[in-house]
Amino acid sequence: MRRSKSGYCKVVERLVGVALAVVMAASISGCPSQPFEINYARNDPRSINSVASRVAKAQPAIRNVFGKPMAFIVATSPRGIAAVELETGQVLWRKNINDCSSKIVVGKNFIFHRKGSTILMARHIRTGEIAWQYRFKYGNATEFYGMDSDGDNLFYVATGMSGGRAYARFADIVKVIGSTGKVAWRRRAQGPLGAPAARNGLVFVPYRFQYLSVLNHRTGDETARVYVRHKVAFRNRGTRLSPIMINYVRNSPEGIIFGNDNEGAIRFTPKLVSGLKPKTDFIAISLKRQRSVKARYWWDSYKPSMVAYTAIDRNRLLWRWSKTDTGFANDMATLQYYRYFFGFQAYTGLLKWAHMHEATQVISTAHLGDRIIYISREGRIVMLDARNGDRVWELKTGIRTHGATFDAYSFNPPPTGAAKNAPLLQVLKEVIAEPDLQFQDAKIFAVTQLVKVPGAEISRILLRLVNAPKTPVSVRRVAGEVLVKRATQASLPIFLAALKNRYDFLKGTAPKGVGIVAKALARIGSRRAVAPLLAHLQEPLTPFSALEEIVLALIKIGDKRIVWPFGQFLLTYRAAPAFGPQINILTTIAKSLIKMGGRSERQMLTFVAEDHHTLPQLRQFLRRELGKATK
Amino acid sequence: MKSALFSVSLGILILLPTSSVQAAPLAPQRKALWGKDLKRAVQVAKQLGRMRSAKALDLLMESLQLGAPTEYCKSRGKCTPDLAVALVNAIGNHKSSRAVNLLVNYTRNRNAKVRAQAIRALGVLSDPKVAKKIAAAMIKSLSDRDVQVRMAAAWVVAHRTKAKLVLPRRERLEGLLIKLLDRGDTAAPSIGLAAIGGYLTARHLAVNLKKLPEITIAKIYRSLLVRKDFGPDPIRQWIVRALAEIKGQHATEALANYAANPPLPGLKSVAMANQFMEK
Repeated sequence: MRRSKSGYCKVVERLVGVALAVVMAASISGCPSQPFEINYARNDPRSINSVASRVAKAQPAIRNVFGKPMAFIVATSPRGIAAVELETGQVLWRKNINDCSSKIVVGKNFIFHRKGSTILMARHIRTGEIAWQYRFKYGNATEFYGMDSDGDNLFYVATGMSGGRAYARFADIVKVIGSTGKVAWRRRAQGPLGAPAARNGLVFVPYRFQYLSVLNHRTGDETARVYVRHKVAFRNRGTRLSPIMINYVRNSPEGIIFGNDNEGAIRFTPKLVSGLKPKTDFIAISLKRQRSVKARYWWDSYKPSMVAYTAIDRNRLLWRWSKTDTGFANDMATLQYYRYFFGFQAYTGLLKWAHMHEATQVISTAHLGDRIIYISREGRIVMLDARNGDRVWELKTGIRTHGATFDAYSFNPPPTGAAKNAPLLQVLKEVIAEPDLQFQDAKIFAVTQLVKVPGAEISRILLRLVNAPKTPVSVRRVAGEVLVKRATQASLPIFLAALKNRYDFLKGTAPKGVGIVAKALARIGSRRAVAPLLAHLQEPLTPFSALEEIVLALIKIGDKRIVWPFGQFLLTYRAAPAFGPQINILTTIAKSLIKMGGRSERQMLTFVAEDHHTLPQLRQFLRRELGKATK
Repeated sequence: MKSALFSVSLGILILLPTSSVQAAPLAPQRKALWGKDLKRAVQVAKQLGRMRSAKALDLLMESLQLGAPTEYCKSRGKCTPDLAVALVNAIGNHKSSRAVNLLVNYTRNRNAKVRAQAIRALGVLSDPKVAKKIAAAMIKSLSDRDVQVRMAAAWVVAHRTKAKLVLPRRERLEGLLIKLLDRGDTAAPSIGLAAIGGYLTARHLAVNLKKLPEITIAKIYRSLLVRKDFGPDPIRQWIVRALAEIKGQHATEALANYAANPPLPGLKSVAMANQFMEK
């Protein structure tokens, strides 16, 4: 039987009406919606408060069933996993396994790791025996983003990749029951998900780079969503509120912490209701941006490569949230760069201590509250005092290490192999003098930190670094910049002494870093520097680059004694073709003579401007400038 | 002093029309020197250098003091005329101690050719009053990084010795030239040590027979042997033995030259040289 067009319309209207009624009824009754819906309520006060109160409930600081500090080491030769009890130094078990391809996640009775690229594996924490294996749904096409455990349950995020995209169009978050290895639920997001963090029956997962979704661990339903914005200035268009990027979430004993790995950290508290960064518990260390030594607050959880133990683990910030207040614990954060550790006062960004691990690479590190623990390539576990860098404890496991996970929060053993950390300046000197060319960035970093360290002695060290022929160009450049920045009256004798050197073929000497020294002297502005600088101005072998700095320094110091030598210099070289490409030296001198000189200098400049032997650029400049001055 | 000189030169410059009227005979030269044609200017500078008048020297000094263009080579062999060098050379030709300060200033010029020419121009000044200044400039030039400047300084040493001009700090100069040898420069010491080398030079060369090039040792020894003031004869014998030991073409030539042209009669070292030559 055929229906009329109006009949169809009636049916459609009825269906829409029924659907609307169902949706309204569901929303009124508070029925949980599907997770990761685009229009899900953000920063809903009721759900945020409820999540925050659950997060605030205490959780055991040490996850493992023994309640003892432990380290789980991925060994290299022979390849395998070893469980070490830190208090006794005893290796509880060691299992040979070839392809542990992720960081180890510690649960209560199990540890979890990925095997190859397709299998997730759980091992009994007591014996190291395999409890279960789970094959990823997408097989070889799986892109694994990370996992976390809550008790014995495991939550992981993965997707199926095809076509070599940068990010997946969808991602799944899956709960695997720890005791059986069976999937309890799987939820799909139409957009990328980051590595999850689980705590007190809640699962937190970064979603679409700007949200933090909170799921109920029983059902997988979304219970809250966080969206934080901050003011961003636009050129000529004022400011606008823009969402912050959320690319990590971590479960720490102080709560759930999330944020952008390059920007800082936000703690999950009821303050998130406002949705504005300044009103939340946000912390960041005021550290100048570095070229390569990066202050990463955590791993970017949208990058699958972060799942494994990589070099990125060795270049990051080590920090903890304060137990009592908002901010960094002890107002300290430690920047690790391979085997170098730099302890900063977080609020000021002032370098307080530095520590250099001897000889071999540092593989994995963790911040344990008041202590920093790390393991080196040869399996030496060392604990540092996070406040001053003193070595407080040491354990030699003898296990050649590829990576390690520490489950040892608040571990505070009696001192073994303790040693006081060397003074900051000495360590920085050692870092700078390090012959290992592999870690130039550490040198550059150490050098840049010297800006704030007081003392004239530093200027001497920096000058030596600038003048050392073996110093790499990049380090030399930074050292020069720092030297100029921290030039003070106290360091004047050092710079004057540096200018005493002369070019001498017989002695094989040459003044070094004259340009940098001139810059520093210009900053100091002492008249005592005029005579030595003039001597270098007249030196035939002073390079053009240094000549320019000398001229600028002399002008900046502003002593009248320079007028005569400047006039002579200008007359002598006004027609020298060698100054053609370096005409700014002559024009700068001419300009200063217009300002500082008297009648005779003006006559001389007029002659230079008129004479056709003078370099054309200089003539042009002088005609213009003298014309201006006459007007 | 400097400021006075500068003021004088500026005064001359300002009063150019008046002075040109007064110095009528040099007016065309002045015009050419300050003209656009650099080739002509160089020719005039040479011409003024040959003139033995104070006014010509004044004009040359004034031109140099107010700055002259140096050589500029666009490509190999295509260079603009070097007026600065020509002026320095012309001033040197006047051999006037009035130019000493100006020339000393130009030994610190950034252009190596100008520096070399300035030290040569200084070296020919015969006034004993300026000898110390010349020696100081020479010592500085001997440690110049550019070889042509060092060679010019060494030439001055040789010239002043041969022309019997005052040469203060002779021992120091010899020591510096020996040091230059150790630094690997063989050109400048060959010139300088040949003229002022003494026992120290002979000894240094004998000690470093295997380290220094045969040609350098032979050249210096050859010059030492033919000098009448060099001696005594045992040192000459020692040098002859050293030359015989070297066994190179230049050493043999030096021995032959010494045997053929003995500087003094009845020297045992000459007989030794003959013996070695026969062998």
